[in-house]
Amino acid sequence: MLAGIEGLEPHYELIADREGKLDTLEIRVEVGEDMFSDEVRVLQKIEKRIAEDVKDYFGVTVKVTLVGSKTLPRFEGKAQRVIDKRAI
Amino acid sequence: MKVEQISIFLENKPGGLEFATGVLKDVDINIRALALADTSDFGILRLIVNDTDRAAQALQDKGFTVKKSHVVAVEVPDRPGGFHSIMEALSKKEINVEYTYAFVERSGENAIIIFRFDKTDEAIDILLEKGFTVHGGERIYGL
Repeated sequence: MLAGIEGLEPHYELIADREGKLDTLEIRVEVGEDMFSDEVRVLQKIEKRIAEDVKDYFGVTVKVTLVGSKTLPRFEGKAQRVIDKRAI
Repeated sequence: MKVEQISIFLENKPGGLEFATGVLKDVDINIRALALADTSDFGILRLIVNDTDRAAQALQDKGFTVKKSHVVAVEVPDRPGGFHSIMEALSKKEINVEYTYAFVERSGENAIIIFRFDKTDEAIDILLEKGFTVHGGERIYGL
């Protein structure tokens, strides 16, 4: 799904957490050179687009956080992209 | 008539800005003007420096996401109404200001206002036509 958004890096991470009795989901997506803009509104539009696409595809409300390039873990084998903090 | 600016993506976390400024210090880059735009999650540090290419490369080498873009530097008298005179010249021409920042010249007589317009070339043409002093990069990098 993320690959469908122009300029978006394929590096992302999902963080499941719990606030009170509610489960929360955050998607952390790297900001690469292609998607980066000097205008805040452009980046906020991308955040909004990701959140809307996730809601459309999966019916889940997510918080989207843009993070620096190459800050998320890289994987050689099967990617471990989900961090579940609810069990901790 | 355009000035090259570098923008750096910064996560909102302690030490991020210091790391960026440290990289620039280490490669002897002098910052001529800066502005930091921030949201709750991230910031964008916009800089005009004495050597854009070297600064951008040094930051990229350290893993920063960097973008070069063109902004416009307009000089106005440093007195009430200086900034307004630019806005007045552009408002009826449907030119939008995406963001702006400013600094006062060393002489203290004039201010230089940096603009990112939605229509850069058109804005420059209008400002020149109205008699404003629009500086090219060489003037600003060497201030």
